[in-house]
Amino acid sequence: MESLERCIETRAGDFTERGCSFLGCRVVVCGQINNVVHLVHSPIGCAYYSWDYRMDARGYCFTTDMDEMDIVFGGEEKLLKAILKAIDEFNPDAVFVYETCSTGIIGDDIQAIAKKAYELTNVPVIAFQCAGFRGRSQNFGHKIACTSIFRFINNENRKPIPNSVNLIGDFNKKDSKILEKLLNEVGIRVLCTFTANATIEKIRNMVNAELNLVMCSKSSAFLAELMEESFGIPYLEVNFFGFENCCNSLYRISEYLDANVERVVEDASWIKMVTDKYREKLEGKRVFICHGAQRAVYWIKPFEELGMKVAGIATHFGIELSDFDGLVVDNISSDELEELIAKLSPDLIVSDDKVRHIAHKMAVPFFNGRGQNTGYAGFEGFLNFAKDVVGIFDQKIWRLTRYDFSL
Amino acid sequence: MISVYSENSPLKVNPPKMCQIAGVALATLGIDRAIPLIHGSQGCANFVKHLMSRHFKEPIEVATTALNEKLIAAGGEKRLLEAIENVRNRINPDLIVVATTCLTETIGDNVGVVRDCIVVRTPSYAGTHVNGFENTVLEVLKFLIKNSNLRDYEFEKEEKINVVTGFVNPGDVRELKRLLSHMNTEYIMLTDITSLDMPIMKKRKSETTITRVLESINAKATFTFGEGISSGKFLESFGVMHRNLKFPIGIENTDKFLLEVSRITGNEISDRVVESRMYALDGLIDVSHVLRRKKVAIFGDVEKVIALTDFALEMGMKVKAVLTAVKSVRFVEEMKYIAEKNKVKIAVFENSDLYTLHKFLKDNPVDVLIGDYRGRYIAEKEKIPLLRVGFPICDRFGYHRKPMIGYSGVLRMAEEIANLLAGKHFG
Ligand code: SF4
Repeated sequence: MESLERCIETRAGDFTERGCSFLGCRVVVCGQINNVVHLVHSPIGCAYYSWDYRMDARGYCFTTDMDEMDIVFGGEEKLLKAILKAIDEFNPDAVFVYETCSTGIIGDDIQAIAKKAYELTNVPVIAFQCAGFRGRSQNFGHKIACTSIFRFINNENRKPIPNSVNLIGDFNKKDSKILEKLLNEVGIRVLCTFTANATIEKIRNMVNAELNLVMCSKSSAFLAELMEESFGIPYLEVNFFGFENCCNSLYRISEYLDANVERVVEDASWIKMVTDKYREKLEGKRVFICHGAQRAVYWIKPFEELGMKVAGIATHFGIELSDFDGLVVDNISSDELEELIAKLSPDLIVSDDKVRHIAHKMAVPFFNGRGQNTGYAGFEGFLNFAKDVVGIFDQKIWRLTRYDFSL
Repeated sequence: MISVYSENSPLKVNPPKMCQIAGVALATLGIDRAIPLIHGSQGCANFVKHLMSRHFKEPIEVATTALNEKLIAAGGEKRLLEAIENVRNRINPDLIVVATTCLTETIGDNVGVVRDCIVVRTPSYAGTHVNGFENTVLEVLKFLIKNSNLRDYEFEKEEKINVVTGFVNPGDVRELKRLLSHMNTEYIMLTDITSLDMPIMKKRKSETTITRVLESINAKATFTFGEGISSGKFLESFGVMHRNLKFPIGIENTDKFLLEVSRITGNEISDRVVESRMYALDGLIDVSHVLRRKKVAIFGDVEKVIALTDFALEMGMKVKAVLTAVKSVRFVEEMKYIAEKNKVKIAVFENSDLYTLHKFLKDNPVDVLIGDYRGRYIAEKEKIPLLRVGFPICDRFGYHRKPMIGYSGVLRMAEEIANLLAGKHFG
């Protein structure tokens, strides 16, 4: 734990919350792409643990289940057979092949096998060289995912569709639904949400957008950068969390595209009225945020809009923050997190499922900043967000943890 | 009669097995103030921690050496020593258990440099979580015994027993403890994973301290379940008897376990134990007409599936298919024996996966599926109720507290199955 604003390296012996680049690639970026066989070329461990890693995920676990012999003699043949079998059995739009530490170390040429499988079947096969030891953390995996998928987007037949965007970034399916609806209302068409609800066809269609909107710059700004460089599609970093952020983002988009923002913002003003009422209950409460990186920053404003104060932020991958006077730490370990919570004694902890049980055990109210079954982005999402936060404080159970049984 | 399906497929789809480090983490966290340290890239540790915390709904401490390309070039050994040092400085545990991974095993890292910690060799490509648990218990015993002055511990054999629990749930260990204390039998749990189900605002605490582990050499006997016999064998060389039984799942298997305990310790099976048996039977007989002749498929770890099959047959259910993800002669042989003894026909899948089971069940439908939460894909698609048992169960609450083992386990499972079927049963 260090008060640094950039991403420091994980130290030996850390109880880190960081994952490997395989996780970044397989789970964070690619996992949500539908009708694709996500084939993990590995012994059982990596494949099993990445299976439905996120609670809202639902998918099959495909693996070559490498055993000792396969590691000794190489797994290329097995991989090819596995790809062919998967295509035959599941008829996917594409097969994504992920390398992990062991198959990376023994040097299986997964690119060559992917190519061969494609030639044999005509089904696209993308190989990701995302072994866990590559790079410092899952962020590197995002990059690998973006680069490999980018190679697959072909601009030969680019026909820009007026007033169209791609939504790029790590958000859940509910968020992306809300945002798609919101953008439709201002007159903008969303070609692809990368990657929640994405399909191979939608990804291919990304090339026709006029503008890319980047939500979580850590996970996939890289794809937007590549698309700008190669196809000249500009991108804009946006933040749809919180009422004000949402308005600002829409206005900024309207500088690029023909968008009818004014009316939509006005239509949403009732939401602001409702959430303002909640302020009474929430005013002055202190929040501690623990998230990868970007999401931590996104939450500052929305909490302030509810009258709450962010007392501290812990990240896993470092952030840059200008006007924030609370405590900021990077690469927080679970033991340090406990210490810090005890020290700050916040009224609410905001994080994802990994930290939930630390907060619960300490009897501190917990809010899942990832949403999962609810979307928190957009105006509609802000209302969900406010309701959920108030809901937590309305629960008497948090106060029942203190007791006095003396007569 | 059985028909055996054993396919060496290059592609596994939904295989219900984990790698060894999950077992290392579980066994280690069952020792008081012990910490697992995963020697590899940081992903493995994070993955295991994440999975366990979703199952146990508890904070899980797992440390990592966090290797990457650059560090591997500089030598993983140095990094490992540094990690051990850091863990000591930070939380000063009583014990650190280092687990290797496929990364460090494939590059041939020399873990021999570590002298004052336990190292378990656990590449993901060999064995499963079940082996990981067993190997950890064995290595912990070996290490502690080697590094202590045994005379401090070696007394006359006491009337206590060791139980190597295997990869089970806190609820199971609690049931074992309950039954044994009702028989006035002192026990040492290897290891005591009730530490993974603590009350609010309480830190992890386990009855099995390092001292307790060492005292296991004074026990009268070590009980192991199923294939996990290595620690029992090891302790035999210190004059501790070894009894290997089936998992005490189902009435008969539980009876046998308690009888054997009684025989060895001389402690009678007390009225309280008998009462809890009758209590369970009361419930079992009440649900017997619902479970009777219901078709069931069971999947999971070899030994647990075997014992669960015994249980299902006790209830008069028709076991249609059993599946395990590993190759296992014992699995096939035991199923053959069970099928012959009970004069039933069972489809036996070894080295298999849940997708294969799914396809089979399409043509051979069953009324209930028994296994961990990964069975949900079959259950949802085919509308077959799933009795959730074992690990992991991430999509429901409290299942780490619900036992499979003992009289409480039988009762809970039978009643839960009956409730799953009740809607249909009562029309
Ligand atoms: S073996 Fe490597 S790729 Fe697999 S989980 Fe561990 S760190 Fe990640």
